[in-house]
Amino acid sequence: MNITIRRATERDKDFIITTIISAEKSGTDIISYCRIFSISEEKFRGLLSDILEEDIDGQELCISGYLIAEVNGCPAAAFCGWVEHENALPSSTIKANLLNHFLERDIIFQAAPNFKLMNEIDIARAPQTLQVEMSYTVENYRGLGLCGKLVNEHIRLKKQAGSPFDRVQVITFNTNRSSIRAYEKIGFQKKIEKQCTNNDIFNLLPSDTKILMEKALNII
Amino acid sequence: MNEQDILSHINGIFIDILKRNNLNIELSTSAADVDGWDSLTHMILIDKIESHFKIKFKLKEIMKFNNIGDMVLTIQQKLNP
Repeated sequence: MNITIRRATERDKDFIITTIISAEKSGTDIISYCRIFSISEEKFRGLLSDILEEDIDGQELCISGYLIAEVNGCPAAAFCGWVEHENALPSSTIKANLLNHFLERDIIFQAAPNFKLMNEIDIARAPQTLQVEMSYTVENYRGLGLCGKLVNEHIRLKKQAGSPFDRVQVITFNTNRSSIRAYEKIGFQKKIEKQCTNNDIFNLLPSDTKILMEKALNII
Repeated sequence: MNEQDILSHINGIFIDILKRNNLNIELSTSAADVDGWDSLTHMILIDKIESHFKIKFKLKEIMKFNNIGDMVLTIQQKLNP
């Protein structure tokens, strides 16, 4: 079995869209963006396509932020990585700017009440940390340790590029148990757990609890 | 409209959205300085500012807004081409 890792390109757009949607669903049928903005999955796919074409770094909706693991030449897994606040803006603001640019005004204003609820479960990403987000492995290729290989390659490439960071962080839902186990296996530990006490959160997200996990680089 | 006029209009929009009457936005103010100016509120603020001044920011412009001063300068350029 030949495993290679490479940077995603525009030709991987469909695979990246599948990655984002699978990661968003976290084993449920809920896509938070669809629920928050009251848009269909089809519209969300179109929105993702538009945003990914901009390829703006520093957040998870950027093609060139992804590494792809191929098994025998077939895309088998993907994982996004960036250094938080490496450039001028935090990832959340970059993403908000992108959504704001591509979504109609009415959709944003209608979503405003949901924003307050989302804030209750928001975990801030620490500046100058390597963030990994949106991981997906095609079912046939699970159990090969591709997630860990992708994280390690993100670390290696960012270090090689001279990015200053000493920790890697990932944010996931507490219900995403297989991912949590995979992260623990490669050295991540739970650092922050945040729960929303309002049950309406289940209308927007797959879970009411988010977890930030962290891996210190000196234990690689 | 000069820099101070634009700043005053923006301050009014921030007060309206963030519901904080004592807010005093300056050119050097950034999201980190204002409680409640999170990414989701940011979307509403940008939309309100665009409709208030009847302008539309380009994506590349908005990505360069490190503080209110950057935004004011862009608005000024759009209003006084």
